[in-house]
Amino acid sequence: MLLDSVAILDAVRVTFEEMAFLDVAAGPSTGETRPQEGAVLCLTYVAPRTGTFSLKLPKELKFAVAEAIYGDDWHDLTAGQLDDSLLELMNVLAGRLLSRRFGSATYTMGLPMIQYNQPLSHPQWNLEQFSFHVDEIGFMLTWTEEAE
Amino acid sequence: MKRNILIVDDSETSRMIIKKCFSMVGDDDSVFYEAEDGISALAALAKFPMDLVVTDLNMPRMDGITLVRKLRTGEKTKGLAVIVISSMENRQLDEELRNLAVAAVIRKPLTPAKVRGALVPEGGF
Repeated sequence: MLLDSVAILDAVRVTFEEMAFLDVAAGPSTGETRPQEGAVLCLTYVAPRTGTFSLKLPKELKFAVAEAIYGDDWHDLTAGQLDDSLLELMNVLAGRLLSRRFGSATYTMGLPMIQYNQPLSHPQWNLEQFSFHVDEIGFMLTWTEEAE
Repeated sequence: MKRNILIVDDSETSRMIIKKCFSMVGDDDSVFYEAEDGISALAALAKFPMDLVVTDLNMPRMDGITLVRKLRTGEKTKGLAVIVISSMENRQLDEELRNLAVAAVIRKPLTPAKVRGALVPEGGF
């Protein structure tokens, strides 16, 4: 286990609440979600171990996050601002998760990216997936890390 | 209070949040300059006099820690007030920043309350 599920939920919940005023709960959504129409964000870290976070957000959530951060209707935001607000969310979430994962050890975090390719991973790596939802909008965090 | 503040962050969203937060806690008259990495920040500092640099750490081309090290060795910039804003939490890094005389380190996400805390002496380190 990379981190216990309570700590992961807390990191996700606090990040979404502080940045986008959204109330996150654990578990899959009971409503219909279409993550393929949203955004997939990833961030790789390389020390003290190598691993990747991948966050799949459906478009409803993508727009809700951007609107909350910019305080504007998403129609008034540029595509760059929409993407950038999500990347900043990924950046903050990854920092929070890694701080909890590695404690006082030094870690090296990459830059958040919109994911177009398969994230860095390996069959022998630990892979954990976590489902969350905001109201009935579901989203998923995948965390992979090289095995010890 | 009117001052020149240089915001250094590769994220446009983050620069916007930093600007808003500082404006809300008393810097509404200040002039904000923006740079997206350490190299652009050094170029801006060569052109314009700044009272404060607010920088992220994790950036492409030149990261924040390299920028602060360079500021501390520059004749004109060695005494410049610097606040670091980062999503990374690390004791070793904090110690290095303290040794580089950084006025405060604020964890992202930034809020006006965190900025206010950093601007009073007991809130910084």
